[in-house]
Amino acid sequence: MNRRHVSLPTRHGAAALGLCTLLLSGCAGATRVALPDAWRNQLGSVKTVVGLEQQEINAAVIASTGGAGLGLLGAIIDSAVTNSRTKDAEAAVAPVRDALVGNEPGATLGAALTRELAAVPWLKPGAIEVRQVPNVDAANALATKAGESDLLLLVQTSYKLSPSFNAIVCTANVSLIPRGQPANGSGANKPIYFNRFSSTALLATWPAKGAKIEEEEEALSTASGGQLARQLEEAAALWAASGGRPARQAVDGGMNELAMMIAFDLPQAAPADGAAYHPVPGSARVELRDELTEQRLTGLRVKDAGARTWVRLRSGDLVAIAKETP
Amino acid sequence: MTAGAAGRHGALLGAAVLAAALSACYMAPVRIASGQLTSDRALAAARGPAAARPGATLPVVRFEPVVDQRGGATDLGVVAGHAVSAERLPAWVDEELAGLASDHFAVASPATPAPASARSPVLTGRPRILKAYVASQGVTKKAVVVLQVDYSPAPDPASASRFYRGQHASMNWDSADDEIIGALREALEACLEQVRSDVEARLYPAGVPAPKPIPAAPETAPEG
Repeated sequence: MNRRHVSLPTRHGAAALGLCTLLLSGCAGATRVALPDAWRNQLGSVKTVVGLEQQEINAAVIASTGGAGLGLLGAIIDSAVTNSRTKDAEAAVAPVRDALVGNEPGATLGAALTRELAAVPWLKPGAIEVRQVPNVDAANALATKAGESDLLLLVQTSYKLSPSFNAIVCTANVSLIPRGQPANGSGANKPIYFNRFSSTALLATWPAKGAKIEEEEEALSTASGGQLARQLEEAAALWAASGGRPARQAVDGGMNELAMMIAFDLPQAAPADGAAYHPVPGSARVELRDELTEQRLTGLRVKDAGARTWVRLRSGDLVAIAKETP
Repeated sequence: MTAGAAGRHGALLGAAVLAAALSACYMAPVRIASGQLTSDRALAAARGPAAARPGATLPVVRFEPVVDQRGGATDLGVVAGHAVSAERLPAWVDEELAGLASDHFAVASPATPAPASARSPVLTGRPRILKAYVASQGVTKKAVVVLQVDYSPAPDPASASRFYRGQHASMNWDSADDEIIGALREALEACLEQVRSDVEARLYPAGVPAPKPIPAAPETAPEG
C-alpha cells in the first residue's frame, strides 16, 4: 500500500485537531483587545501592512462531520466528503475568479485605509504596504523583522464566497504589534490592539427572491452532488455576469467597508472591567447569519451606514451586513 | 516491572510523543528545483521535432518567450503550512508550450531547436503568466495556473487575446514534493489543453482535418 494512504489521519489529523481547538478556544470569549489609553497617547511611528492570505477568491466549504464518533473510519469518510465538496466548489468558482482577474483587493483596501485612517489623528500609519502574508509564519517574520517603525499595524485580509455562493465575505484580522514581537504573541507579548472584522455582500438575485434562508439551506442540504454543483455554477454565473461587476462590487465594497470599520474601531476604548468594548446605550439586539459557517449569531447594532448595519458580536468582532428592509 | 523501569518507559514514551508532536509542527519548505516540473512530452520536444512529432509539412505556431506578470516571484504559496517555491517557472511554461505540437500543427518556441524554429509561423502567440500558485483548504491541495496569450496571424499585425485557467484540486496526503509538483503539472496541463484546442480552431476554422488513415500492414502467410 502506498504509505500516503495511511498518513492523513496522523499528522494532518493532529494539525486539524490543534487548529480546531485553537479556533474553539478563540470563540469562547472576547477576542477584541482594545488599545489602552496609555498607549494611545504615546504611540510612536507605525508601519502599516495589508497582508493578503490568498492569490484569488476562495470558496468556503462546510467540513463534513457525519463520520464523528466512528473513529478512524469516520475521519477518513469525513476527509473524503470534505475533499469532494472542496473540489466541486473549486470547479464552480472558476468563472468568478476569471471575472476578478486584474482586480486587486489588497490595493483597494490599502487605498481605503490611507483615506480612512487619516481621520484617526493619533495614529500615524505612514505609507501602506500591500503584500502576500499567507500564514502565521509569514506574519511573525514580518512582525519580528527589524524595522524603523515602533509599531506594526498588520491588516490580514481575505475574501471568500460562502459555501452556497450566496454571499461574498471580506474579512480582516487587525493587530497593532510593538516592534520585535510576534504577530500571534500571547500574554505579555500579545498585540496592544486586536480585532476581527467582516463585511458580507449577498447576491441579490440568489436564491430566488423571497426564499427564506432556511428553505435555501434545506434545498442545499438535500441536493445531490450533481444538483449542488449545478446550483453553485448558476450562482457563480450571476456573480460573473456583466464582466464580473457584481463580484467586483462586492469585493471592492467589502474592502472599503473594512477600512471604515477599522478606522471606527481603533479608537473605541474598553471599560476598565476587562470587557472587550463599551456597549452603545440602547442599541438593538440583532440576529444575523455568519455566511461562511452558516451559523446563527447575535450582536448589538453599533451603527447604520447607508444601506448597511454594523453589528458588534459578544467577542467584540465588528461585522457589517445589509440593513434589513421592512 | 519495577517502578524505576516503568518510569523509564514512561519517559521514553513521552519523549517519543513529544518528538512526534514536534515533527508534526515543523513545516519544511518545499523548493521545486529547475527541471522538476518538466513533463516527458516537453523533454521529447526539446530533443527535436523528429522525436516529438513528424511535423515537416504542418503549419507552425510560434510562441514567444513567456512574460511573467507576477514579477518573477519564486514563492508559489503555502500548502498545509509548507511554503512552496519554484525556480524558473517561466522557463517551465516555455518548455511545455514547445511540447504542445499536435497532429495538426508544429510549434516553434525558445525551447524548440531548429528546424521548426526556422520555418515561418502562420500564427504567433505571446504568452503571459498571470497567476501561478498552490494553496490548501482543509484536506485539499489546490494548484492554479492562469495564462494569457495574445495571438497574431502571420500577415495580420492585429492580435486577439485569450485567458486560459488551469486548476487542480485533490486530497493532500502529506504535502510531499511529488504531490505538489503533480498538482502544478495538472493545472498547467489543463491550461495547455485549452491552448491546443484554441490554436487548432484558429488554424482550421472549418474543423481540423481528419487523421490520415494508416496503411494496412501487408498480410503475412500463417506459419506452419
